[in-house]
Amino acid sequence: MKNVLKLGTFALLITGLLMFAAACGSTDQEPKAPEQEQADDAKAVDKVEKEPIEVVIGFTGPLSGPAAQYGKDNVNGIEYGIEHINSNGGITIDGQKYTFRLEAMDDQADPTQTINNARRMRDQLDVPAIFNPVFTSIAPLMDINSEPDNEFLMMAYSSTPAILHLDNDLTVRIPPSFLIYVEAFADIAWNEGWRNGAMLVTLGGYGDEWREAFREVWEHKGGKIVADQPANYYTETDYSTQLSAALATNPDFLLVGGPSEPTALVVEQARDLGYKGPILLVDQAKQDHVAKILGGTDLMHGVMGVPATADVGTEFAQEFKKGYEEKYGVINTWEAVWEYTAIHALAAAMEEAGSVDDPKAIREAFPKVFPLTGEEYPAEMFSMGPRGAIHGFGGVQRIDDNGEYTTPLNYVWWTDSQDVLDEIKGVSQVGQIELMKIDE
Amino acid sequence: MELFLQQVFNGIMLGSTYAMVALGLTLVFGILHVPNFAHGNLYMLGAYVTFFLISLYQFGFWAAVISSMVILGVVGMLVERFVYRPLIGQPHINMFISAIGLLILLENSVAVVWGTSAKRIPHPYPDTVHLLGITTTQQRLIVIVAAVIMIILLQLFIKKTIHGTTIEAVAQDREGAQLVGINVNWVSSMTFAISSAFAAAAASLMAPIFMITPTMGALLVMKAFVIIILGGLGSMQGAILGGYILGLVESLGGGFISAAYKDVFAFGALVLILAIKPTGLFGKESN
Repeated sequence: MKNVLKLGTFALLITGLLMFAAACGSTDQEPKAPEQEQADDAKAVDKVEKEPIEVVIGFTGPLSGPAAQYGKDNVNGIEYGIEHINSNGGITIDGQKYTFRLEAMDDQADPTQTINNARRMRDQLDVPAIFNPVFTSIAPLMDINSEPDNEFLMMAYSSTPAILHLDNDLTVRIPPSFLIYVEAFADIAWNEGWRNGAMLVTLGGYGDEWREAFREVWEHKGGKIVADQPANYYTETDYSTQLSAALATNPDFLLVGGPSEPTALVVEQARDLGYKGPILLVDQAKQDHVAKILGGTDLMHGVMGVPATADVGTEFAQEFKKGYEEKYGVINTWEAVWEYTAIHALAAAMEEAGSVDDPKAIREAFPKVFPLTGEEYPAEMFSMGPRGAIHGFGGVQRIDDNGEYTTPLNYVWWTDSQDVLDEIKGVSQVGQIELMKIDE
Repeated sequence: MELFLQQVFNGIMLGSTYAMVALGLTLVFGILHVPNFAHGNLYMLGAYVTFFLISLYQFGFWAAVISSMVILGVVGMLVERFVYRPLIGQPHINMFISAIGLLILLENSVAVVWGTSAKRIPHPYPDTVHLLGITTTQQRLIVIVAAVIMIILLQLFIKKTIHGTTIEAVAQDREGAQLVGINVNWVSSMTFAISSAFAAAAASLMAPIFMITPTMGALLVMKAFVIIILGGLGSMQGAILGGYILGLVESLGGGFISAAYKDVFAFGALVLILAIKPTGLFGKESN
């Protein structure tokens, strides 16, 4: 029996090692060396024939595991944007045409693997910019993106305000800050007369900041957080332990969220446990996506969160949604919308900088490419802040007691100037715009 | 009090799946000494087969669960025949290696066939139930009841039928069993079939509540190993009790202390029990 016990302990050890190895070892595919060679060959020939040169753009993020769809939405958006840019002939710098290709690698939201992927893409594919959609991966990437001769532009898809505090000159933050939702949710909740809130938000850098920020704003108003039960949305699928504890405190509302798919499970399990009150979704979760997973809005009366992409309100949004959903067979989410617009902004910044491989010059040229408005883009971007935050609307939309989506409210959050608001109202195609200055 | 009952209920439901998975693992690992790391992946495969039958062939829920059990039973037999049997009598490390190979093969095959993003099986029983002040869904009750029934049936099978007792006989003494005319290879096949079918049943019952992904078995097999060590290797009672203990520790610790450290409680319990009783709860001193 003792031998068997030893064997068991050994087995346990091996399983642990294995899980580690599996987490480290799963990339989507090997870098495509032959293509790279072709690109290099092309470079030499192009000088004469002016054949377009292919620029590889990097992406690393969760492409397997519970957050896989979130990662894929990002990849799809970038890819769809690249396809569009390429079909319009790419970009032209000094008479030389450039087209784009996306290299997407899986890191299962594991920061160690993120760094490995990033170094590999930088070394072997010379990518000038890397997209990543998970804050706990973005922060370590921002540690290495300024290494001399290995610089890359960090295209950060995370609404975490901390990105701006990291003081990095080579970062572009794509979506609006989540502080907009924190403020808007707290305002709406307070005006509804709700006082006791319970939180079941995802663990990790992004979720931790969300919880802290919301607690601060809410308690400042005089409200109470009666339960704070975080869960790891990236690895867990059963939230009944946390939900039971949170609901036992009889909250007036629940604040939940992480990636949309596990968030749908949380909403469903909360209703299963008999909770009928309002549910606020953090901005990473998209209510139209949650509704699709749950087969409709039956369980989602009284939910509020980021507006459904169908209700963005720009001319191009509907066309984009139709084309995107036809091509990828999945619901169009804000990730796709913002990433599509961001890759266009990146291409425009390269053209503006006159370089496809100098991250510093590209970053410096970035603020000059705005505004990007609703005739050509599904989401509108108006300007860029000093730390690389792109200025686009943050909005909140509620689902009423009949399960219908109400008209979304959009916030201009980067200024408190009425003139700027009027200016934006002049160029924007979106209705229902309000000022709500937040301090990042 | 209500919260306590609610957490106990959550713990029992989690424990039911843990017990079913650990039982399968203890059968092949504790009894035949095969370290089947791929057990969690067979669990995962079971969920995918059920998903496949329901979404593509419009099987009813129970028809799909039973078909999935049968299919995984056959897969289990094939695994025993082609992956583990050729290695009997060789150093243990060989079986470790082929188990790892099988694990990688299964996980990646599923990822290639069905994609890596999470899938959902529609709820067959979505209604909520109120019971003793706790609220839950019919599906969760079904998981608990079905697990108990299956565990009892397996116990009866092993203790009361001639085929079942051959499993115990082989476990006690492989060569002795051969001498009295037991077909050892057949017994191994049967054990693997039962083990895999149990994993498939657990996964299929849980699938409508959760999501299914190619990596869903990874943490589970780790916990199953914890359970069978905690319960005493090769002990079926140990696996059952260990499963429920782990489920309860996770849900009570998570609900009352901190949900962020759920897994810490689970693995902490293992350390604690092994420190007090190194052979596990039902482990024998030596054999």
